[in-house]
Amino acid sequence: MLELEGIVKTFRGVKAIDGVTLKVPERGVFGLIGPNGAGKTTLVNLITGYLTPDEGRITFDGHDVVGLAPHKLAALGVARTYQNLRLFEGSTVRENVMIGRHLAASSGGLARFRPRWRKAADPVTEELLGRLGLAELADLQVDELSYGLRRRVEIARALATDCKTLLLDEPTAGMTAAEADGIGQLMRELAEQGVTVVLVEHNIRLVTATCDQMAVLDWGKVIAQGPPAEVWALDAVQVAYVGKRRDKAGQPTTARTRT
Amino acid sequence: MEQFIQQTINGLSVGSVFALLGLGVTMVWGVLGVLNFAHAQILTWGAFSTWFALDADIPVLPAIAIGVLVGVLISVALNSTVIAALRKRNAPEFAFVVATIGVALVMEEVLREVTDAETRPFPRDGFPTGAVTIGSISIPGLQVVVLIVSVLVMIALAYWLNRTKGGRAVRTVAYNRETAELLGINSKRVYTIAFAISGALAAIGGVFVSVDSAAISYSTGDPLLLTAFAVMILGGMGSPKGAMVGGLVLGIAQVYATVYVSSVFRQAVAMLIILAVLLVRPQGLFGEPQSARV
Amino acid sequence: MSELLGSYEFTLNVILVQAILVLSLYVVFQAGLLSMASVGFMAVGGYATTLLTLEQNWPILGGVVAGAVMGGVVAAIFGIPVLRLGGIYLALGSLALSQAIVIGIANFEFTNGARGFAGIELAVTTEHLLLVLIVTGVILQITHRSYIGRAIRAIRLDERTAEGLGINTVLYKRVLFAFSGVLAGLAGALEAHLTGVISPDQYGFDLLVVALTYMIVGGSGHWIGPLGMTVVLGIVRDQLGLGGTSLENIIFGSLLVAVMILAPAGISDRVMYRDIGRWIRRKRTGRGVQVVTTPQGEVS
Repeated sequence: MLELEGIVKTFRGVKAIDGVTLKVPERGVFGLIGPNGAGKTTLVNLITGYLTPDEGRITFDGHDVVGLAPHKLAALGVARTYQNLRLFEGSTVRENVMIGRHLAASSGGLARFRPRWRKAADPVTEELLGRLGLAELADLQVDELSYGLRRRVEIARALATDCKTLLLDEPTAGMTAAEADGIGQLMRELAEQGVTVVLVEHNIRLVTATCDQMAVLDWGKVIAQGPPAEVWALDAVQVAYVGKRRDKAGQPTTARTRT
Repeated sequence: MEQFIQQTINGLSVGSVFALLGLGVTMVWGVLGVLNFAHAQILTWGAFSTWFALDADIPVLPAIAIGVLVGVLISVALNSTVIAALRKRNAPEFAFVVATIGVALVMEEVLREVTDAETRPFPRDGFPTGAVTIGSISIPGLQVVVLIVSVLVMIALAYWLNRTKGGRAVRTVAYNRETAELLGINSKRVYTIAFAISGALAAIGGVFVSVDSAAISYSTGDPLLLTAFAVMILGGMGSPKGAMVGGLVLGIAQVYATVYVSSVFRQAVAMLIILAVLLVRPQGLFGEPQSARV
Repeated sequence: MSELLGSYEFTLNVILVQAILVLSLYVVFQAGLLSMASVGFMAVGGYATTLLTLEQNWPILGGVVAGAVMGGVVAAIFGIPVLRLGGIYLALGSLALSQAIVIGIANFEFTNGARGFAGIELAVTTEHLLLVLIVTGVILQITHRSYIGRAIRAIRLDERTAEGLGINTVLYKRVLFAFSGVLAGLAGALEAHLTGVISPDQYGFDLLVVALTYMIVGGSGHWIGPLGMTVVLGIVRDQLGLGGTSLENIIFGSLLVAVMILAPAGISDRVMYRDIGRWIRRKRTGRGVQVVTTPQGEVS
């Protein structure tokens, strides 16, 4: 179970995260949405150890993880994908996914140094490639793939770490609707297998369809948290997302200025 | 006490030349992100050009001007050929370093051939000689002049960078090239200007160094490369103000260390400063701490 | 061996020692770090064995091992602060470290200052050097093909992402740096017992540039590149008979520039061959590079 308490992060005087408290329940898909600039990626960076919060606690299954280096968090079972897609260029699909097996490999014995003459020597990698529809493309260079496929490679790579908690930062950007639904299905399967999936997304349909719980971030604060149906009903969320306002008479309007 | 004051002035004079060198590499680093390992050679070639001019009986000021011109030309040529080719191909950072090392090597060897590897005396006629006496303190006139001229050059550069349109264009490109281009600034021209200024500063510095030691050879610039980098690192990579202050500090530190501790330190001070700053405070005095974006 | 090589033996041995130095540079370069410190570590190794065998009457094997170990220790110690830097700062910092070591050696009494030593026991043969290179090659190859090699390449390509996948980049870099110190120290120690003399000016910028050239032209893709390049270019250099002249240095400098412009990743870079392959294919078929998409985007 992932918990954030009172997280504050300031950049040069701007409060990117302003007192965020979240409880992400285990084995489910948790959605995190919010307008651009709300601080979603910053939150992911904080959770995965790339940034350190100025205040607050982050705990995984009770362990306090603030200040741990990213690789230590990976060892605790946290994996992520990146908003701007970071694959290892100049490498094949299979090679990218195999890097994800590093943690597993480094805890092996001397047998891990036995020369493997076949390329497809790691069963877990092959299984993941199959699962994400990349099996036939495994030997291609990643820069030969379309954007949607590259995203899938990144997800496969993250899954290769045998993670218990997977944070996906806008994974369906650039995908077709069918591909996005495929990812949604994958996430539900992962949740059923016991993985906690945190999904940062702009694709409202996907979030509503796949998430058990969600939170809405706006200007660094959590303005709503709960099951999707409840969250969407809230006015605050409507205002933040759609820009609805109330005029003096208390009626919704679409006047432009925000306060 | 007099010795202390004398050594301090000595340090400031040496330091002001260091500052010029540091400014030269800072210009190129700040604007282009390139660590120009050929800087010391540009320095030497510029100084040698002045030497040839003096040898041809050309008076001091025009001779220096010729040296500066050569420095500018070589610098600009380096930019428009090697550096531009690398930029066009999006070469990785280390490629620029290695390429300028290669250029430096070629330049040094060519100079070595041309000058038959001889160390030649650098004439001091036409330069201020004698000493300036204040009370009981005697300061070599040359040092005073070097200090004054260097400071004037720095003031002129600072003024140009901060108060003129051209200078501000340079600073904008150094800050962020894409933004600068969006503002209509021709970044290629700015690169040329940055290299040109760097070359001019190198040549002036080279002349001062040669006059001070009354000698010049193809290897005059070698020990000064690390000094220039040390100044830049101490002052903060990419900060002209830092280079000016850093140079003076380094000059004084080197003089004090040499005089009051051991002459061994003359060569070592620059090295130690680089190490110390990088380890303790990598952004130097006035630089910005680096942050990585994920 | 000597009967086979005759007068050529010494030249070849020098080249082989350089190969070890180049591999020392390669070891960290494959992780994306341009370190110029190896020459300094080489000096440490050379002087360690010199002082131990000449003045303390240590056996040669002990001296050589000590040289390698000292190189590794110095690298491990200085690696901790120096590796916190990246990119350019690392290049500069490592260069400064290397120069500081050599200047230190040139100015201390117990190292005989600038005069150095002569009369070091000669004991290194071609067989020894080949043995060292073969063992090193085996270690490098096993590493290259293993998960460690993949991790190292990942660090070079994208260090931050590698961290997020569980790779302890700081530890990897420190270990590689220490290993490069061991190799450099070993090279220095072997050289001392090969030539019989040692002095600080052996370890100048010239040596660094030559080694750097071999390594960079050889590339960061596979250790065979730098090793092969050292041997090939070393022999070429010797055959051209220009040794140490200006012309040779001019050629080297120009080669560095040309390689940086044309093929910064060296000749062992797979990507370059792939690009060349694509370019050839494109010329032949007139078609561009195909971007792969699947028809329905199905994910099982």
